[in-house]
Amino acid sequence: MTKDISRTTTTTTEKKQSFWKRVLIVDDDADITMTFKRGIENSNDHSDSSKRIEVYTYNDPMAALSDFEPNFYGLMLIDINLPGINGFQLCEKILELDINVRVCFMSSGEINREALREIYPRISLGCFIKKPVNMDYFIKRVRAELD
Amino acid sequence: MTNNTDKQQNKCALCGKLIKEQQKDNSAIDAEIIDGTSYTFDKNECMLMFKRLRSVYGAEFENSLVPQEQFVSDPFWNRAIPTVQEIKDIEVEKEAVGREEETVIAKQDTIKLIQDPAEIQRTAVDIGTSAKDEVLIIFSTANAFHRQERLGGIQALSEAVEKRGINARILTPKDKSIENTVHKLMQRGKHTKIEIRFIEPDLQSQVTTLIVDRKSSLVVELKDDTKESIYEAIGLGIYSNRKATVLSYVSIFESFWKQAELHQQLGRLYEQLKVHDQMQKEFINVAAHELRTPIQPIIGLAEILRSKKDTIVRSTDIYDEYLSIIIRNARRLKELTENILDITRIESQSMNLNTQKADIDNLILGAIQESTENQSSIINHNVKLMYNPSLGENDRSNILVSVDKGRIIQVITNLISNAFSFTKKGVISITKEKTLEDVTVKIKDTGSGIDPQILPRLFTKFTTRSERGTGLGLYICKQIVEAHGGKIWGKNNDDQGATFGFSLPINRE
Repeated sequence: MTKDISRTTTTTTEKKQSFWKRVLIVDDDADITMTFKRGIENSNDHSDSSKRIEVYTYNDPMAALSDFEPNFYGLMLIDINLPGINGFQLCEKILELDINVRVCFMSSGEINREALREIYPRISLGCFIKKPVNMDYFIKRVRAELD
Repeated sequence: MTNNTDKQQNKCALCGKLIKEQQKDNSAIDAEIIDGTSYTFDKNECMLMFKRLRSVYGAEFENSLVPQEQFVSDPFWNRAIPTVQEIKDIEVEKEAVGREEETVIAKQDTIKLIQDPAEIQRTAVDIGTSAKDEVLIIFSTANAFHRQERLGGIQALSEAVEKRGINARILTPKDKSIENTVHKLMQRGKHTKIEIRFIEPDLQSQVTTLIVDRKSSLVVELKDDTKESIYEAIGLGIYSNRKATVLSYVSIFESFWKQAELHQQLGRLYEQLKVHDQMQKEFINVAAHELRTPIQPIIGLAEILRSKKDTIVRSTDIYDEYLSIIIRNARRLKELTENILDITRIESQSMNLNTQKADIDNLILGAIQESTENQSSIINHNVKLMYNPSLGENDRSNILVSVDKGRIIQVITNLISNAFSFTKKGVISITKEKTLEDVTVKIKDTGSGIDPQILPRLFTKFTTRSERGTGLGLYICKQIVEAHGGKIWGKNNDDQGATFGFSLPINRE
């Protein structure tokens, strides 16, 4: 699977100027990444115009990893069930490149936080979003994490 | 203790009691010559006891270390009972003194109490080795088994089984070492007829039971299981060759034997159930994920559309795009729901088949029609679907099958749909073949073929994860076809694409 082609192409300076924060979303379902992206972009129009969020989406976790730029994203939303590498492993690898980026994990199944804390002690497991999620709640959560 | 020189004052050679010379008392016995020496005895019993002791200890008995008096006062000696061997030699003595436990009826119909552990072991070996047909043993504890093992008893039995062809069955509580022994015994050869089953720890008894040829039994008390030597571990033993007793023990053995088998079966079923349970859990987890996934775009995009409704006129592209994604995911959800419900029905065996006679051609055509309806929104004009109903010039007959029409159409539709999913251009051709027994329907495509990695798991749940597929279709097809007594398969073509086929038994009526 290739990366979502709706990634906007702007120059580097523009990237850093016109947006408040950037969010990386990794989920193997293209409809879901598209929905989240459009949802966040839609909220840009409605909320405080100084807090515009730019969204980058990937359906292939390896592509997300190889394209990753440090000090670029404020938050990443990673689906737990990814093909090949699981969401936590991807997060660990990204944290090696950029220690500051925050993370929220998305899942459509049950989560055992205690078990996960033992396996991945270095990852912050404070933010879990259960799919399917209402867009209002989703946007609020994303903006809260970025603040 | 010889009284050669002391004829005036005769003492009994055994108990030392004074015997008055020329006593006319019936109990006095004249001198008895044993091994060339003359002895006098107080009673007949004394003479017999002296003879026995002589036969066991030989001439040594003359210089016995045990004081004479002990023979008089020791109740054990007063009640000593001969071994089975001697039963055959000795006439029954009705004048037995103080032998309340001994019930003597006839040589062939006996219950005997044996107190001497050595005698018990000898008796066990005697009757065990005299077996002609069958030896049954229930060991009281695992240690009892090991004690007999160390004495070579198990080995001897195993050899007897192999050489003389007797049947041997052993019930024993188990430990690791016994399990290994049993395993080795089982591997020894085809002639081994020794069968060993295990008793659960809470069903252990306090006696070890030996039954030979359903004619004699030996039941031995366990006195102290911590002892290594059998002579210290066992208490009393009871030998019997009375029918009622022996057959009762046989009945006890058989019920334990049966119970051990049932217990084993139960264990196996439990393991199978655990595996099945685990598979169910996994299925539910995957199903939950698959169901929740399409719901997200439906909810999300619908909510976005609602929030954008003022601007919607200006962006009909977005409107169309969002709506088609919503509809696509809603349909996927519908298909998933149906598939998962189908699977739960199949798994709980409540898939009811409405069997009717049907012409296979009608089923195929029905499936083709349904496929073209389904595919209408995504028609690929580069792919042709072809079906040639004729089998050959000579065969005009209809092929009838007894099937649930809806279900078979479901199968064919699914296979056609898969073919479309994986074929970008070319031909999907449907053919049928007939034998005396069954009819085979094949769907051949010129697409990308089956991924070799998936090939072994082709008909299992959630295997195919194609963009539009649910991963359950082929699994359900397999269940349906096999429920009709048919077979389903899929393989890659030599040139390009794949062929899927299934067979159904022909209606013979």
